[in-house]
Amino acid sequence: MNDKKNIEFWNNLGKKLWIKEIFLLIVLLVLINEFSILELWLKDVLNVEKGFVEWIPLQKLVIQYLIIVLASVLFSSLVGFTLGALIHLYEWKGLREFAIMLGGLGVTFPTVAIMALLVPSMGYGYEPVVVSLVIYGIFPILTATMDGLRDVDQEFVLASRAMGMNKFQVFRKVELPLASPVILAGLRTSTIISISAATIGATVGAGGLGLPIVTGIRTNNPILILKGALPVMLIAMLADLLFYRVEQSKKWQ
Amino acid sequence: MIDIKNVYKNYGDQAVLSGFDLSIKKGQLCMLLGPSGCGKSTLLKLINRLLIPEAGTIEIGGNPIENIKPELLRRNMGYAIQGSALFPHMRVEDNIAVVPRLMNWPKHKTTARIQELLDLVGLNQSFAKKYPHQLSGGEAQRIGVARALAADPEILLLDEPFGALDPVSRLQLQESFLEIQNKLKKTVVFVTHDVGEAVRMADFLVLMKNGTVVAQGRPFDIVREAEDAVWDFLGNSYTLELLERITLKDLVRNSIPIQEFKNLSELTKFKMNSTCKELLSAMLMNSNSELMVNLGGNVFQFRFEDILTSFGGENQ
Ligand SMILES: Nc1ncnc2c1ncn2[C@@H]1O[C@H](COP(=O)(O)OP(=O)(O)O)[C@@H](O)[C@H]1O
Ligand SMILES: [Mg+2]
Repeated sequence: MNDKKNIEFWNNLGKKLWIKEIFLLIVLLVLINEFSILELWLKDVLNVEKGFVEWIPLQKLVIQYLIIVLASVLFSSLVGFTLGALIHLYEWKGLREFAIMLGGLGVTFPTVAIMALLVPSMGYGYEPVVVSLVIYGIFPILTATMDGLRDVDQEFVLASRAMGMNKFQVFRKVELPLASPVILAGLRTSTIISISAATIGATVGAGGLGLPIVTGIRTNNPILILKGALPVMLIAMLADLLFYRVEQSKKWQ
Repeated sequence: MIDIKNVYKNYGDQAVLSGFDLSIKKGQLCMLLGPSGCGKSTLLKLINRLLIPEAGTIEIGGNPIENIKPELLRRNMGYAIQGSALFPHMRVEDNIAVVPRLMNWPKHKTTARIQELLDLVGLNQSFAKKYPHQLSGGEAQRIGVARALAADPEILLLDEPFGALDPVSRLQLQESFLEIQNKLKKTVVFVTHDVGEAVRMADFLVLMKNGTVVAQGRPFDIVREAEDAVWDFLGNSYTLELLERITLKDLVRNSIPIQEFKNLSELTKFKMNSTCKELLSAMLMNSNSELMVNLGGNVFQFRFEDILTSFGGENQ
């Protein structure tokens, strides 16, 4: 009994002080800045050559990578949310089906293929990567927005109209807050997808953390693969924790 | 104040209201009583213009409601929809403040109004910061009424505001609502399917069945003119419910307390606002048609004939 209370106390304290998040962030920063130490150790353990020395520092790769991910998430949530909200507000029934179909097609079409198809028109670099990640990221947010808004209990919509709210006030004051947990879940899915899919960008010259992974695969070098994969994993975990926090912060049930 | 003339409303090919007529006077508490499914909620939605009738007119103060912008009409009409429907993501204070904020009241006025309304519905100020999931059923329904009253509308539409409550809290809420109504004198359309509630509270009672009015009038008048249809509707114990509307204050008006009686503690205690139904119940308990009671420290003797007389008086 006492033990249980103790554990709860430490858990709560940990939550308040952002222990997990700060710990992950520190691990990530140390990993990025001091990877050479880990590299030496891995070389002994895995018994492989270090491979050629990376010509781009890890810090720079991480920054490139974060920019790609953040830009994609930003654009896909803007487009996905706006489109979902408009479809809901103006009851574009046909467009709803169309959007779901198109989104479904987009998701089943391989990311690499989209990127490759975009290269001829956009050239090598981060542009085709961001565009294809946006195409991918829209779908979860769009469907979450449409479904979340549609599934709001109509009792509350009726009550707000009965009190004299117009369509937009109902949307802003009632539907959106009530749908926000579902929309947030969509954003979370979209972000995690982007974080993992952004590594593929290296194949079309976008740089980022995919670069050591792709190079590692080509040269059969597990150290290089880990050099890209470990930070990606940590960033994904961190993002997940942050979303969890936002979800938990809502005070109503 | 509210005039409903020859209103028709269908859902698909199901006729819900067919030629519905009703006039409600200013300051009147109109109880709309009918079995569930008879079209009560539909009628309120029509008055609020959430629904539009197929035919007929609805006027507020002589003005057809289609001449008023729906949002404005609704903000000036407090409406508690069936099942309280407090917004779960808003604190109690924000729920109450919905209409005042829509009407752009200054902040201090809204804040003061929230405090005033919590007092009025008999809840502590600490409720302001709570979320609806932290309220009991009775508290939520009080807040529902407070929210409907928020912008001080002339008209209140209440759709089974005390439904889904245990009988005890229901009685409490009815009593507090009557107190509030005596102070505020709103024009109220109060929907219920509970005969006791309707009879107890009504200034004006409307019996509704299958989308038409079966009978309407003051509760005592309805008995006088009652036809079989009405008795079927109200049940044969309707008169007992009516006894709840006569208080001991009405009975003692013509009598004086008994002075020589000393042993007060032996007598059943009553209050001035205790009802004739309670008195009759006490007579039955004591198997005696004459009863000495302790009425706020004074001793009175009541006889069954007193009840008959006062009932007849109301029933003239
Ligand atoms: N939106 C709707 N669509 C179709 N039928 C409805 C709708 N709302 C109510 N009804 C039907 O209309 C009738 C009257 O409903 P209502 O006014 O809610 O009754 P009450 O409030 O008296 O219980 C019922 O038979 C109900 O099933
Ligand atoms: Mg109803």
